[in-house]
Amino acid sequence: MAQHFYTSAVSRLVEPLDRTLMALLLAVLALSLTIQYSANDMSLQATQQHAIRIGIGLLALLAMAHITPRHLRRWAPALFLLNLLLLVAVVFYGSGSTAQRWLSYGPIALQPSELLKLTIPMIVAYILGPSLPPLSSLRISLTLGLVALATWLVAIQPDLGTALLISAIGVSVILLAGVSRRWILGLGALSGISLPFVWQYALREYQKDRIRIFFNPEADPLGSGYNVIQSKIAVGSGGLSGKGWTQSTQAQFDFLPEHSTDFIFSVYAEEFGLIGVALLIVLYLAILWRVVALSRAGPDRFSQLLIGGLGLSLLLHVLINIAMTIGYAPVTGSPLPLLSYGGSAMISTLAAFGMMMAARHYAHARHK
Amino acid sequence: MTPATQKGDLHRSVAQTHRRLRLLVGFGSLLLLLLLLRIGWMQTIHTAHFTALSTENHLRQIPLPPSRGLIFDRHGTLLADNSVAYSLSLVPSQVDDLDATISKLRELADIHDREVQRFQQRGQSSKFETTPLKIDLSEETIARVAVQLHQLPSVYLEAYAARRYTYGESTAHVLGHLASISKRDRERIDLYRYRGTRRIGRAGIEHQYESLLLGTPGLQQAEVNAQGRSLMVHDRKAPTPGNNLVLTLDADLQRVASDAMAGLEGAIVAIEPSTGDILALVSTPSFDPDVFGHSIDPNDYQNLIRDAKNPLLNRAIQGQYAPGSTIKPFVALAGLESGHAIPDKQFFAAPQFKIPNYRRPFRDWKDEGHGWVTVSSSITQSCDVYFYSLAYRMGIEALEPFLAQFGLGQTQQLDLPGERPGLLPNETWKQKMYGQPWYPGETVIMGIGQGYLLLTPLQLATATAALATRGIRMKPRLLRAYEQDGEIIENPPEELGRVTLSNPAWWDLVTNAMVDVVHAENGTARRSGLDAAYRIAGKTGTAQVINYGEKRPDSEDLPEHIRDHSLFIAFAPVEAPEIALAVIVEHGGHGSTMAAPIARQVLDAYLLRAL
Repeated sequence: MAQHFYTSAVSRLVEPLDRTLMALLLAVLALSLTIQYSANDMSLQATQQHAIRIGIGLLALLAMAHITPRHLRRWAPALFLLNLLLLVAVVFYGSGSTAQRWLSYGPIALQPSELLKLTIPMIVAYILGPSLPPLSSLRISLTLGLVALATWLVAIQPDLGTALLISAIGVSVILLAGVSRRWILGLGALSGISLPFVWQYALREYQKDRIRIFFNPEADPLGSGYNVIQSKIAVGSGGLSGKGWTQSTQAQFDFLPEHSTDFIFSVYAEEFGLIGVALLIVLYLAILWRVVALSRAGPDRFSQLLIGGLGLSLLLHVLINIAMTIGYAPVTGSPLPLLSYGGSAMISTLAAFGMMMAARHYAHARHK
Repeated sequence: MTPATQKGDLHRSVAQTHRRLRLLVGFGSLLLLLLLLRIGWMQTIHTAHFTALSTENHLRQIPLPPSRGLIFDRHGTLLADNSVAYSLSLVPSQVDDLDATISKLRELADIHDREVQRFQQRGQSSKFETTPLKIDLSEETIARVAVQLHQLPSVYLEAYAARRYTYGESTAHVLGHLASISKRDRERIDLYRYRGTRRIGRAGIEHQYESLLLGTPGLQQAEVNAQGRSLMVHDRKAPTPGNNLVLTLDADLQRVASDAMAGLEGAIVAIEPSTGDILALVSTPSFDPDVFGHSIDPNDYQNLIRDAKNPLLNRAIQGQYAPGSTIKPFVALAGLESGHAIPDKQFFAAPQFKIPNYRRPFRDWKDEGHGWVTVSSSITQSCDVYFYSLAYRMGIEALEPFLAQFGLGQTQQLDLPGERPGLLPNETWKQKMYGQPWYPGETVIMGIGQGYLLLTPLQLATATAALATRGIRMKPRLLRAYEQDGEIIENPPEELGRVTLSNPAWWDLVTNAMVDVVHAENGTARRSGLDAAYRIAGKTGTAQVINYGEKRPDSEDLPEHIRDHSLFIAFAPVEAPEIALAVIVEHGGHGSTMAAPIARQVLDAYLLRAL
């Protein structure tokens, strides 16, 4: 009797979880732990820290999986507003070595810009979800305005890389919701025209350097171009089957900076080679397409846009990070989802999957 | 709008959104696959290129500098040694804010402006290497820096071998010193042999035997991290240390000689006549050789260069002096050999000597004149008029070639850099130099070691040694042997030439006269011969610094800088000479009062081991 009770409690607890997606996520997380051990100089303490973050992330996933889309939608404006307030707080109370990105409270350090990766798809889905295409210019303008505001708050930290990602996520959710060609062309033209002005007035010199270096990393092999050159060496020297676990000379001897965070992929590629890289990319693709499959479920547009938006956010992160490690994207300081060391990104990414699973589960359940 | 159409619209829009999502994700997936393709290309076709770069990154060939050969004296006393010293070094390219780091280091260590300048100059050319900011740190500074080191990335406490000279100032001119390898050095040295080595022998023995002392660098293949710290050694080829040198120098004698010269300007050269071994070679004032390596204040070097007494000049081989009366034994031999001086033949020495067509007479130092003298007693009493007359009668044509046989006016081929030749004048030289003929009066004054004649203390000493060996001229040498692979390789004595006399008894004649200089009642250096446990052959000399012409005031009443130089040459024991020497004290006055007592001290020290 009691046993039945517990069994059913557990089964209720895990009920919203998507088995396939969970299996894929756990596979990537296993790789993540493996490579973090190596990238942190075989430090058990750092690996344990990473494991704890994964644990918290999985709890967040589980928790989010039980929040119905209806609640999520109701809280979307408040959460977004709270996120904006946190970003403003960062401007005044933030900490960080080169830019102010963190809010610290005791032992807890929070990166509010990471939370935006959840709240942006939520707010866009909130505004554009209820109405059917063709969407009114007012709604689109409002959405764009909010995305721009969030982008600006991140950009002044300054964290240009994350700001660009945020705006890209926002715009991609808007595209997903369906806008007319006029809007697409207009936005394209606007950004094309504003580009020189952004370069001239909005960018700081080191940010311009990053972009210059992106086009010509060898120009300053020991300065800003150093990271990319070392990262390419790591990836390329991995060969077909890699140097073997914990055998990355690029990371172990500190030639590759940020090797447990932004450049974790390079270490992975160096140690596990092309075979490992192919496996990881296949896993990411499988996750993405599983997310696409989830979004199909509901006739609920909010859920669909939310799932789709979070999925596109994941795609953008993976693409930009991997492209960066082989010199195909500027060094922006964005992590590789699920693999990089760092609490805020890990927890918000896993929480996003919880939201996607909830959106699908309850949409599904409602229409059954 | 009816609920039905609304529901239909919703369905349509959901399907549409789904299509768009698939399109976007599809496009993204394609990009991801293209990245995979690119990575695949890097990891297969191009992997060798990246592997080479990766290996180059972390496997470093680190040269291991050899330890420099040690220098010993003839009895095995250590003269030059290597000890571990520490420098504060940085890799300029790895420091973000160089100025901030330097000013932080200046709080920890006493770093001079000039050291910062030097570091910045060096740092330009060796951006990626550890470049010393301050060398020879005190223990206190090492401790202070070591505690802070973890907060100072790319700052290193580097151990290096510092050269220490046991006898400091006393051997500074002989041993020389080490200096940073200059641009000029770089052009002529084998850079491979200097890998890992920062310093090169700059003067003295350190320079002369640089190639023996240096050794051969080893090589270590090590894994290094991005900061250049060596983590694991793979392969190691040990360096071959430099060869140890054994010098002919007697360290104790050297110290006695330089102590005897303390506060004076001048030189002492002591030679073992039978071998040419330099037993002592002193030049004062000297300098602290550490100034070149471990100076606290770089101004010390500037002070050395600016010092009016010129402590960097090695007077023993570079100082050129009029020999004064110390030339007389050699002039006497020239006279005997040429037949112008005849043993035991009496000569009346007036207070002055006159030659035809010369208005000015040549005065003797003894106002009343010496009266009846012979060639022997002229040496003993240092009679000027006898030697004026003898030189005049011989003429420069006979005098100059004979003196040249003793090596006067020539370098002695001593194994020490910078030796000067002095000057033994003759008619050709005069014509070439001044476009004038040689005047007989110039021969006359050369008879008492004045005029154009200039000799180095080394020449005087080797010539004296040749008197002791009855004409056998041994090449003076400082290197006795060196140690190579545990084997002693001797540097054999070498004969430079022989002075032969028609009658060998003339050697005895001159030697006995010189013995009388020290031991006879009327000898000029009799005070220095008192109570000697052995017999000394010597000759005093007083060389004029300024020509006063006819009226010559007593030099000792003059201010120091124009006072006469005081000289003394000697060898002992007369029966079997073990040591020959020359002593010069600049502005020391009479040879008998300054130089002779110093010579006696040195002889006692060597022969009686009265150290």
